[in-house]
Amino acid sequence: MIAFLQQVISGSAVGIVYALVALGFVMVHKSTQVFNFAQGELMMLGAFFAFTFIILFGLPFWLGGVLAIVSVALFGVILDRVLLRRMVGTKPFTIFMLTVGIGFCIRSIVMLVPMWGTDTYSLPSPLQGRVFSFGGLIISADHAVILLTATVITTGLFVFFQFTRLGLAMRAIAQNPLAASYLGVRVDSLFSIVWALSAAAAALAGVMLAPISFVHADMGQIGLKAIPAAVLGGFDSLPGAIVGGLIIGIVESLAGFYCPEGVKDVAAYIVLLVVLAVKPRGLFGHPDAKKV
Amino acid sequence: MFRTPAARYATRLALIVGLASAGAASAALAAENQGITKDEILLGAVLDLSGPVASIGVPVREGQDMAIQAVNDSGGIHGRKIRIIYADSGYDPKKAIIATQKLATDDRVFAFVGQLGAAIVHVTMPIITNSGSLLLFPNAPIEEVYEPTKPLAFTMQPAYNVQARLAAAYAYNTLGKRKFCAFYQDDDSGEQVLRGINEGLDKVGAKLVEKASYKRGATDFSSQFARLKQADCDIVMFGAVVREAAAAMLERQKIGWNVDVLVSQPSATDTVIRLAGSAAEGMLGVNQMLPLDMIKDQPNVAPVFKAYADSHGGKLPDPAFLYGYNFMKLFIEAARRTGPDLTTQNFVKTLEQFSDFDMNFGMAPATFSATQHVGSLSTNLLKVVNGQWTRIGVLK
Repeated sequence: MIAFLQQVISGSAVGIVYALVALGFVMVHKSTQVFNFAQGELMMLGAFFAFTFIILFGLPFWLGGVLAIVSVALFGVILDRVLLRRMVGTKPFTIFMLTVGIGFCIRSIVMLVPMWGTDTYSLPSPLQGRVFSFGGLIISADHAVILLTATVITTGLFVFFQFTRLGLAMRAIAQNPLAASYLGVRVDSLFSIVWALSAAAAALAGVMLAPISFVHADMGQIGLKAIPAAVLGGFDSLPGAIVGGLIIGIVESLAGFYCPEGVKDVAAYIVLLVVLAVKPRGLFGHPDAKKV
Repeated sequence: MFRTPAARYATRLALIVGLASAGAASAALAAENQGITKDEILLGAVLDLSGPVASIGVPVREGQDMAIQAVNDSGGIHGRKIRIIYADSGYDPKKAIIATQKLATDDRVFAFVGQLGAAIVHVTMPIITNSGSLLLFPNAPIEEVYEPTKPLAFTMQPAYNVQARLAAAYAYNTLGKRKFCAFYQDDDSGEQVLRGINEGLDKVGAKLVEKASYKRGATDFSSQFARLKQADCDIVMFGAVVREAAAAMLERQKIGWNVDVLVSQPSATDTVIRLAGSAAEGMLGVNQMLPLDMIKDQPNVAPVFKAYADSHGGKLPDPAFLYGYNFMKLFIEAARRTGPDLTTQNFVKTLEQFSDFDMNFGMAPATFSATQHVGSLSTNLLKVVNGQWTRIGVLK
């Protein structure tokens, strides 16, 4: 039983990182109908910014982490203003390919920056190595912080979208941007806020993942795990992204422990197939949601 | 090093090209002084200079070039200067075959020195040896270069399984370990290590009690380590590469498991300590080349590193630089010992007489014979003490 719980906790910590990246996918898609394939790369950028502020500039971990998240959020706004806004009205596939290109560019630029490059860097958190033990159950401080931070952030986002005027406006543009703009909602500003929020969520995932699996140019690959998480949740549902990420993280972890070699690596996709076979729109998918 | 579907396709292509060139081979063997003139020795190397392992190919070239420049500046070898032609494979076996074919049959190089990559060496070796060129010291730890012995192929890198076999025997006999676990990457390099561990354990009548693999680029190892911990092993043998090995050491620290760990060559490097920090303390490892931090102040190494740093903005070279430098120095020494009458046959005869030749730079010494074309089957046994690798022995 302890072993089972241990795997659930470890899986949740990894799953919440998937979930944060998936949240970014969902936020952007929900509001702008754009599928942002560069989400994983934004996460990697967050980790590199954190590395720069914390290790190269010597700032405290938490301050550096916040600065990294803010920087990537700003980068998200720039992406929207400079590139993606011009694409409004073009075919979804064109925009999708643009985001694929943006992802490649971010990765290449990171590799060209002299202090970053192709090396792997460690970014130890102040809590590294500390563990809490509850009757045989071991929780590392890093994992505990990931779980706590992610819970706070996702609750905050939920409250923001459900109970604030800005959140309401965002939901409005998601449903019908034209009608929303007739009612005085400034659609273009809101798009920028959505991009900022989604980039910030990815950067947060990067900052939290860095102490566990280091900072390197290949980090963005985790986006490939976040896509099934987003699809599993229904793709247009914020709680769905969180639940989807958690399910995939936990299933992977349990499969790695209980199943034969190799099952862990395909577990996420098996779960996705099974869920989609039963609920084609995902766990929290809305019947009128657009197909992705 | 890994094999791709492209590599398998290229194998077939290589066979065809190899067969086609076989006819020319006998003629080439007759003209044994190919690539040698009165004042020049012509060499070739197909390296990845732009693809996924360019981070190894570029420093290998730099190392080879530095060794060549030093010998040319001092007048060459018996009056002959070395010239080397590089070709970029981009780690694509098809491109490598074409480049090798050109170097072997058009340029007619005397030897290929430092050919890079398991998949590349696998497909280009038949072309090289059939053309009468020598395949010397490829940067590819694969058995087929030396098993069975081929007249024109020599290597300094035994496959990872050789080192893993020695490491497993050491852990059993000297450390008294009885419950072995393996943690490895599920590709060629990890499987080689796993095979070596099993071979080593077979010899002493022991068996692995548990094994756990991961995919390259994995970020979470909690389930693997939970499984290994549950198996209650007393040593975990790693067949992991740098980043994943370091992350796994952090996982081991996180779950508070003080089991001994012995890592294979790819992760017995300074970078693992840099990444894993205190979690790497006490880790054991095997590596034929001593990590840079251990050797950088040695009197024979420091001037080379300084020359490198002077032309590279003060940076220390990559470990791959040392392979390039050392293997070219070994070629130079063999060519020098062969004497003015440098032919393929004489060169092979000379190299086969090398015995315990000091490779410097912390590499295991080179010994060849008519029946053994792998220069070293021994490896350094290392341990992380106070945050640094320390050599605690040599495994043979």
